Parts: sequence; C-alpha cells; structure tokens
Amino acid sequence: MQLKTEEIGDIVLIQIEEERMDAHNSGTFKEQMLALFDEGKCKLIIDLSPVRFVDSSGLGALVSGFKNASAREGSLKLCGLQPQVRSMFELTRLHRVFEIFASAEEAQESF
Amino acid sequence: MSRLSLQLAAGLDNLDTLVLFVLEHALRAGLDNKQSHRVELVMEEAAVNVIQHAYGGESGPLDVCCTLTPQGLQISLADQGPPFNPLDAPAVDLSADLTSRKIGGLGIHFMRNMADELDYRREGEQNLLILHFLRHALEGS
Repeated sequence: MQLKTEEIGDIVLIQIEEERMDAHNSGTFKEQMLALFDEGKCKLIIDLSPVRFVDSSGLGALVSGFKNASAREGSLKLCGLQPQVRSMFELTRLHRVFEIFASAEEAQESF
Repeated sequence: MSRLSLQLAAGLDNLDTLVLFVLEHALRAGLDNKQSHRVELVMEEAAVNVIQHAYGGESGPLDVCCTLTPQGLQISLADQGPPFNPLDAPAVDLSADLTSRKIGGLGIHFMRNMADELDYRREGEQNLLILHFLRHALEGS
C-alpha cells in the first residue's frame, strides 16, 4: 500500500495515499504495520483522509493493527475519516473501539 | 428491462473491472451515491468471497449480470465453487469484545445489510447470488 510515514518523537503518523483500502492492499498494509511494531514503534496515528472506500479487509487490517498496538501497550488512533468511511465504522460499531479524531494534530495531542 | 453480462476470471486483479461494471449500471439504474456505495461494497465483498473461499485462490469463472428493473438494479453473481449459501452463515456479534470478534464475518454482514434483497440458490454446479438494490432504499435500511 502506498503510504507516507512521519516520526514525531515516539509517535508514527501514517498517511495513507490510496483511495481504497480493500482486499487488494490490506494484506500489505498489515505487513507494513507489523514491520513498525517489530521496530518497537507502537504509537500509531493513521490518517485516512484520501480513503473513500474501505471494505471488511481494510477494517480487518486496522483491527489487527489496533490489537497489535494494544498488546504492546501502545495505541493506534485514526483521523481524517470521510463520511462514507466513518459510516463503515459506525455500521460495525468499531467507532466505539477506535479513538477517532478530525485531524492528525488532535490525535497527536491525545497521546 | 435492460440486461448486460460480464464474464471474467475470478481474481483480485479483476476486481476493478467488476466494480466499474456494476457502478456503471448503478448509475444507469438511477441509484443515488449512497446506494451506489452499497452496490460497490456488497459486490466487492461477494466477489472476494468467491475468489478467496469458493475457489480458494485458484482460478475459476465469475459471471456477473446486471438487470435494470422498474425498481432499481438486480445483480446476479455466479461461480462454480462448492455449494455455499451466505444466508446460512452465522450472524456477526457486533457487541462482542474486540478480542473475540471475528472480523472475517463482516463481509457477509455487509452483504446482508446493504443489499435491499439477497437471495441464493444452487443451480446445477453453480452458486447463484441474486442481489437487489432499490432506487429508493427502504426506510431505515
């Protein structure tokens, strides 16, 4: 998956640079997050601003990242959700699980 | 009624072709953006289900047929995998704790909840999934 990462202290900001998070790219995204966890980075912010479509594979990748971060006493927070993407979190009640912020700055301040 | 079919090899590389095909017909059927998003999601989930489970990653045919109806759009999806009725799959427990939730069942959850009607039948050696999307979605759906 095409993404940009920025390290801000011990926080890693991951900016997704795709319009879709689906069966095509979510497996790769899981591996990209695992590589960060293996480096000991477990405070992640994922900026979903360009994403207009997420399916069950995309949600599964984010849940997997959330579980991995939590298991390492870190956290995975989300920001920049478009309305259609947010509705997917609401439909699956995952909006009660993830901390969701309007912007990366707000997510960063919450750590 | 207008009816158009697409035959393609089941594979993740062909998903874009399938999605574009059904979205073009969602537009022709006069579905709004919200309904078109549902069409896109449900068809993507249904096709991935066939690719990953019915064919187990092996190649196999996938036939998609779009029919414009007076109420909206009917889409049928046929595969030649082993019999599988998504309507028989257990419901996902969305209230369960995240550690015990099975994310794998979410695709079928979306198919059931976002299509206005979902029917399945086994025809000969084929699984046939028939989905209806109404021009004016049912209230509360």
